[in-house]
Amino acid sequence: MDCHSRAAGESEAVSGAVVALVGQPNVGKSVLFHRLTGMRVAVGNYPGTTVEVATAAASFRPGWRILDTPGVLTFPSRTEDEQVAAAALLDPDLRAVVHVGDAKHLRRTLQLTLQLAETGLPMVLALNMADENASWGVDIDPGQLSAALGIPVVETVATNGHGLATLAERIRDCPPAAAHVRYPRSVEDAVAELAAGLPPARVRSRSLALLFLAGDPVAERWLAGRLDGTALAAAVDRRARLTSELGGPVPSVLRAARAAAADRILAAAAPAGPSRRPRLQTRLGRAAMHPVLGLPIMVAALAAMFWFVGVFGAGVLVDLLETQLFAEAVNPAITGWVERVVPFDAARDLIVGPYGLWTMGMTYALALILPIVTTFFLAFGVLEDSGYLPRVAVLTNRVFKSMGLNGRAVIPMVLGLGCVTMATLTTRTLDGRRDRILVTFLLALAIPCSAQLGVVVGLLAGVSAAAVAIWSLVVLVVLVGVGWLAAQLIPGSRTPLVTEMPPLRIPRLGGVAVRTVARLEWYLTEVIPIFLVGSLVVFALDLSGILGAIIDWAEPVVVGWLGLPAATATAFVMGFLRRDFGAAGLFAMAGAGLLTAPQLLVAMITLTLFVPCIASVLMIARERGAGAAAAIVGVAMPLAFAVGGVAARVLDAVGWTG
Amino acid sequence: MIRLATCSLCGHRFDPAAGQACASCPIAPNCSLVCCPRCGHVGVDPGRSRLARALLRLQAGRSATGRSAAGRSLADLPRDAEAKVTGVAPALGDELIGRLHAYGLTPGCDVAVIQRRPVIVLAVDRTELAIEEDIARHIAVETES
Repeated sequence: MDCHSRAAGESEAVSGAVVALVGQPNVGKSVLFHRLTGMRVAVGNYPGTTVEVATAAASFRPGWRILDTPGVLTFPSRTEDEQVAAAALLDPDLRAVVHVGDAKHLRRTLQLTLQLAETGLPMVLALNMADENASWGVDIDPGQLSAALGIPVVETVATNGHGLATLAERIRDCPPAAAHVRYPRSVEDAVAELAAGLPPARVRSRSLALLFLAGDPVAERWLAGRLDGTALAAAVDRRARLTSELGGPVPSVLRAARAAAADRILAAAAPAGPSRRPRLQTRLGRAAMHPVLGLPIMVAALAAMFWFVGVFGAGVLVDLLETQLFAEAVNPAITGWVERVVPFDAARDLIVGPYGLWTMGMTYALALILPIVTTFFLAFGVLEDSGYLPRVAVLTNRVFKSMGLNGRAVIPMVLGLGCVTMATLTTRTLDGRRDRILVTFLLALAIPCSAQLGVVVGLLAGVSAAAVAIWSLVVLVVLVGVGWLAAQLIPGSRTPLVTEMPPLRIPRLGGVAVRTVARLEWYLTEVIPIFLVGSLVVFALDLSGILGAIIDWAEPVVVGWLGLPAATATAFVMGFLRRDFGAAGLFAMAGAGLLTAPQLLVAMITLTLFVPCIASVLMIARERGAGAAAAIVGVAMPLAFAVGGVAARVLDAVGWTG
Repeated sequence: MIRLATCSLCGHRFDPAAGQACASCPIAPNCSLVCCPRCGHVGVDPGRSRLARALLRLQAGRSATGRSAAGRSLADLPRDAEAKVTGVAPALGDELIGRLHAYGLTPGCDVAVIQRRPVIVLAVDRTELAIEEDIARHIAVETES
């Protein structure tokens, strides 16, 4: 993958030039990206971040690559997404910038155009969704806009390809942008002073100075790596002086000047027209976030998603692949072959033993997680493109407010019911590090994945409806209670919900399919090693006898504190390492009548609150860092046993027998 | 900050948080009621009672149209109301103000309230924007008429 090879040697020049698509969220950047490139798309993390970016060869010019940057609302960059966009602008390989704007939000678009044009990079403005704008009844004069901005302006409709040939032509030979916003005198003085001492960059030093003065962290890091200590200190000092001269934050002064400039251009190029009545699309979008009407729509949408990922993917497909294809055909064949070829017992076990690289690692990655991931990426791609996700965030905001989160947390939480490992991956769509850690923690603790749900429902439904109700209540109380407590303890303040409601659109299946395939490629190359490492760890634990020691050590806790038979300790530890072993153990014990109704309930509560599986722990370590993973596991495990033990005593005290 | 309450019986203005009348009260001093230190009339302290706050909010939503235009925030507007933004309080922080600005919500812009619950959704130009009530409180508006 292109961006990964660049992560390895960042300074190394990449042959060919990069054209960056930059723009606000929901302007159709991704669709435009797929229109300007072929089918071979690489999706991966931008170097040093967890932000997903897509790159692909340009279809209109051999040797050029197109980079689809994440949505940027405005500069200075604040979110991780915006910082990736800012970093892309400072990339020395940058050939041109295509600012993708939504034609019907021309005022918002122009403010960002003016910011981007300050860089002096070769630049084109693509006014996308020109058709939607036309239906709002506003005429834009691209010629006049182009003259005012000093860059080519092309009206496009990415979904049907309108204007794309012209856009490709303009990208090939666009001149450096020349637009110039005049800022108040004190700002201009500071910019001139700073710009004189800046190292050469791909962007104009004026724009670098402006970004630095506005406090952009990417510009600051870039300069910190190139200026010596005294020069940097002087720059920081100059910024502080400007702030005190202005008597307020620098960005607010820059914003006001740019807004005024944008409004002047707007008045000339797109006089305000009459606004129309809301169309069907708008009305549908409003119904989907209506406090009453929206709820059944949300329940239906989330249920459909859960059914597709949790039941069809994690149930039907996994069953087909794991129990039928792998367990009955592939694994016996490979085991037979390895046993014939490999002479040593230990080496054979390493590959095809109970915790072997193939029988555990690859089987899990290919037969268990791959179908879940595929259905998940498809469903998520459709939801992402439809513009529905922000509406779910609006409807569920209040629930998550009590846990110190906002409505955006609903997506990982619902997905967690399918697979906590995958849901951990989607926590990167959340606003900040604090929200991500909090949701990751709650996912690991109190959200039962489909495997756990299968065991819980299978065993508790046989006891009584009351057992299921008690289990749900305990898990829910722990979820909200611990969420509330963790929100107080984790430093940082809650991010309030401020989000745009894009119009609802019908997703384009072609784009969703290409993105799904590209994400799957990323999964196969990046996540499978996690599973291999996981099976290696377990293999080593088993071989060295530590596994047996852990079970021995857990036994007194399980017997004395939880009041369960000793064999459940093995089922718990096994369930964490290999979920099929754990579930099979519990089902066998229940079938043999070894567990009473209260014991089953206690076992299920503990199992649910337990960290789901070793893959999820490794995923947490990969996404949040080893320290965070250790902290999460260190809190979740004792908590699971504590709640289980308290539940056992309470059930005993009230004499509950099912 | 001292938030004064007005006794609904005698009109005396006092600070309910000080609990002047609570010392002589035989019941728990931390209840959500508050007594007027002058006449002893029992009132509800909306600062302490969640339920009272919710009821007051509901009433505010209903009767917001009837109130004076001065000193209003976005959070006070009823559904379907249209207004002009007059100011965004610096208390929101420059980062958030910058985001609102990028969405088009700046002093001088026209807004229409699409819905109030569970989160306030506004139409700003052609952008639909969801913001929490706590943020809307910091955005001053004026309505025509």
